[in-house]
Amino acid sequence: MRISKVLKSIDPLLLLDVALILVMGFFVLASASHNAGERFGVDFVQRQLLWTAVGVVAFFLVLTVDYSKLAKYATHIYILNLLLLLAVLFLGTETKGAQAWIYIGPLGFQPAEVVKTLLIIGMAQFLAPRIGKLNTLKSFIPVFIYVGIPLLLIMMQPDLGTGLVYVAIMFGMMLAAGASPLLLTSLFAGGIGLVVLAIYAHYTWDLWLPLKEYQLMRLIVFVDPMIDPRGWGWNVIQSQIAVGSGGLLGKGWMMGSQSGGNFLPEQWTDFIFSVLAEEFGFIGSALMLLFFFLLLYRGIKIATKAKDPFGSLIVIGVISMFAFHILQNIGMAIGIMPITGIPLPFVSYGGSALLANMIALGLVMNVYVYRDRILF
Amino acid sequence: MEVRKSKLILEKTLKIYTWVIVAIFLVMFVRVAWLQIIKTELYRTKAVSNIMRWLPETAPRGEILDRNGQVLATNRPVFNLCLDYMGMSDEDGTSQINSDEVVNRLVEILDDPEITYEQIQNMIKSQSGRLYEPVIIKRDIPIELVTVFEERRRELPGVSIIAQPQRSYPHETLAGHLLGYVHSIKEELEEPGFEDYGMADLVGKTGIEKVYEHDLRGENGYRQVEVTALNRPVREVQTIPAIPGNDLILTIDLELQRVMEKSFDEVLEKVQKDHPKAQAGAAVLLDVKTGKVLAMTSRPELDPTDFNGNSLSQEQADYYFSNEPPALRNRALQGAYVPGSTFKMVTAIAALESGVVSPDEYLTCTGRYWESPYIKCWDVHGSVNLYSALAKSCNVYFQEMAARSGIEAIGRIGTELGLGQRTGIDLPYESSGLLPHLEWQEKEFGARADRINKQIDERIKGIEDEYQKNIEAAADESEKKRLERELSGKINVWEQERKIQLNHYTRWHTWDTYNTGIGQGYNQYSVIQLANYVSTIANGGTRYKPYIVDRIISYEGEVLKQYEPELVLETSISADTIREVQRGMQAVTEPGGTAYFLFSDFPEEIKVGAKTGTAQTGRADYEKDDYDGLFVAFAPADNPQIAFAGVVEHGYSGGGSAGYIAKALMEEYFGIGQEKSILELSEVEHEIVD
Repeated sequence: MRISKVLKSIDPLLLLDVALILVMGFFVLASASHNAGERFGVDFVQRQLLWTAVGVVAFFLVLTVDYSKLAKYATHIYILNLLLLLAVLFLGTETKGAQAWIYIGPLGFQPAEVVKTLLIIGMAQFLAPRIGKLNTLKSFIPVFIYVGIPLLLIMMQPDLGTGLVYVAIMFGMMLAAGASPLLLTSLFAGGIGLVVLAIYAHYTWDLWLPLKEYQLMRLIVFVDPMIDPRGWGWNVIQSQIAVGSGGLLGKGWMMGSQSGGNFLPEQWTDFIFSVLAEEFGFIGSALMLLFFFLLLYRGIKIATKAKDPFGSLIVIGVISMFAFHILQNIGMAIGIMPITGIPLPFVSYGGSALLANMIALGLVMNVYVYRDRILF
Repeated sequence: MEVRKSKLILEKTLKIYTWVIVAIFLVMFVRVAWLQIIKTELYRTKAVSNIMRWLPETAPRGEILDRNGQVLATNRPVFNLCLDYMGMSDEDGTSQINSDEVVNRLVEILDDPEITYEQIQNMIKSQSGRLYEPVIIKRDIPIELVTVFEERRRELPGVSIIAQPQRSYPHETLAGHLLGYVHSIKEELEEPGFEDYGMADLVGKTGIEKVYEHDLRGENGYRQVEVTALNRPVREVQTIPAIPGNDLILTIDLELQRVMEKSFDEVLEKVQKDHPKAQAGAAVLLDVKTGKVLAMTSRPELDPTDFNGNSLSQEQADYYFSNEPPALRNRALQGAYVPGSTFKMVTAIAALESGVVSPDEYLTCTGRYWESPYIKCWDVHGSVNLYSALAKSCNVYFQEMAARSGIEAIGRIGTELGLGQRTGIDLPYESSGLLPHLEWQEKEFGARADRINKQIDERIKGIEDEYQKNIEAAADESEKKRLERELSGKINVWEQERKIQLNHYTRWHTWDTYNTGIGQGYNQYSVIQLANYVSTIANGGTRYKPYIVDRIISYEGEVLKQYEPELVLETSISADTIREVQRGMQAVTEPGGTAYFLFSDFPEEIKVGAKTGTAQTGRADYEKDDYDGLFVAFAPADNPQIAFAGVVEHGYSGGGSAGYIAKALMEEYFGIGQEKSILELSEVEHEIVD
């Protein structure tokens, strides 16, 4: 298809919305990193801009091929996914506990970001024929196995964050595929209950858990930061102070005392929303929430307009991924979610994530562009 | 067909999906609104307290100078190692450096046996109520350690080095007792006037440092500093400069003080050859016309630098607190000594003022007083009058004088001369001493009578109870009678005992008067009292309050307070009496006098009035031939300027111990050349036990 035709048929609203998020993100990142930048000798904003450019190119590249051609490669994609995860397990370099990188020459790259998109494509093809047939717990089992295998590999890294994203994508796509919401909800509630029980058992009876101590600690301080006010609770407390002290109008760009004084840990990735909330106040945070909501909302609209269930499910997969990232990242900053190092899409600093998100967005747009069978 | 059906299902499920997303965003929106609109004030306050630190800036303590401006106490900058408990989190707050680890590293770097992990934890605990203030771990760390800590700052979050002025005493032990020392604030925090003190502050604990604490302290300044999460200062918000404390100009003369201390040490060394227990004592030199203290010392010596906020080593703690004699006490004020013959001027004045003797009346000393219990004189003096009795320190003469004047007159004169009462000098912990005048007797004997009565009543009660039981249990009437007789017999014995004890212990006996007259018995005075009493005789009967701070000046040099001589009492003693007693004291240093050997080489124009004394203390650590040596003096005899009193515990004789100190001081004061050390002077025959 010709580029001009593609451009004509894209959703400008979605594009504008993401552009706004990106621009806002640059400003926040500039503020969040102006101390750290000196420390690390890195210009965060410049790099992020560069990656954005790469991302935009990737976005348009994704648009050139009709997504529906991917359907027949779904199994290959799934196997590629597994191979990548195995590679990480055996060849990956561990930094900061879990975030696994693979180096091809001097180029570092985080498979975790890509595998999410790969899972979505495979899963969409896997679920498409099952739409409307997911009414019993038994019918869930193949889906669980399908997701369970890569999930297991991820948990072996261990990368709790990406694992949770997998689960979120699975639940989101199953919901869209017509799985009984009641069943999903009870499974979800049951899962949370099990986690709580497991943690309780861990601390009371020394039950073994496939989690490292710091991961557990993050889960617990979320409930009561004062368990460890100068350790893990510190992050929870300081982030809420940053958000709360921002007030209605914020302290002004580059004027945040919490971010300026380095009270916020990892403020250019994990706690970037706190910086935004501190400096731009409620107005800023509400605006950001609105932009994100619009992104998701437009996505769902595109899902309804897709020419086939495969397309709809791809979009819902991406939207579920975004939604979980947003809920988890912002939720952590405002104290309603436990701490896991999950970046905020299009805002947090990080090349791999930005690129992966742009590709994922490209997929959504692709479904929109090729929505009409007749057109082509 | 299949696709169409799927599409219908999708349409339905995506609606549910949309509502899930809406719900998630609503929760986030409400939470953000709650934090940023409802709770914003709370978090603003927290954000501000996060970054604002008030750093106290210790005001340099005022200096203490001698009368000529010589520095006795000043400040020098030192580095104190502090622990900011609130700042004990690491680089970015994520991977914690455990505060225990920090403490362990501190201990390891300091490598000081006095500072252990437990000790630091205790310091933190004992300051738990005020942890926002830095905990001072060690004061005055050497510059090499400062460098080490600066280099390893990243792994020691919360550890800081604060440069502070620290008290320093350039002359070490010189005047140590009277200067006093500063130490960590403790119980003072509860007292009024200490409201603005912090846990890390030092306060004067003894001496001038204590009495003039509020003048010396100054006002701490503050720097309000904005800091990062690591407590690194970003910028100074505002500064309130510290106001240095006020300086004190003392009445002390550094040179005289130095001579007093040096001669004291020499005397101790000399006396110790025969009397090894001689290790303690005190001396005071007063300006007789004003009451100014020119020099004052106490032995064993005290070095204020040993305290200074640091914990004492075990050895130092023993030296100051538990060894015998403990060095902490300023014996010039806190000690109460039996005056011995140095009291005889009081007896003389009492006798002259009562008109019971004239200076020229001669009595005969046969070596023993003629009244019971025939208290011995230390020699057979033959015919003595007032002058020769003072000169030779005749005990017979003064026992007779005491007998003639009576204890009432002696008590009255002693009181007028300031004995048995605090002089009111501006130094702490002054002892009041004991003058056995009539009021004292009444109180003391009353208390003793109560004690004796109570004791005997209890005894009798016990016996009665015992017998009562037996009487009740008695088999027959005759047995009962026998027991009752026995009981009344025993009670009778105890009633007799009561009579004997009351008679002996609660009455003033004639021999008490004789003993008092020669400075023994109940008499006990501090050295400053003795000095002031001699000073009062020397200046013609005017009693001043001794004082040690001449003026207080601000750090800018402005005189804030000038202390003037304070008249306590213009005594009723007649000028004639004073003159006779002065003459008698002068005879002490003239040929035949007990202190002639000391001043025989003094030039004609510097005549000295003096009195030697040897006291039997009756204290537990004194054996049969152990005496305190006392010496009082004033000079020049014809126009007195200075008065001296000194005591050397276990000094044996007054002239042979404290007398040398008086001599050395007068040589310095009047510029009489004397190069010889006391140790080189030979005198054996002068060990007079008077």
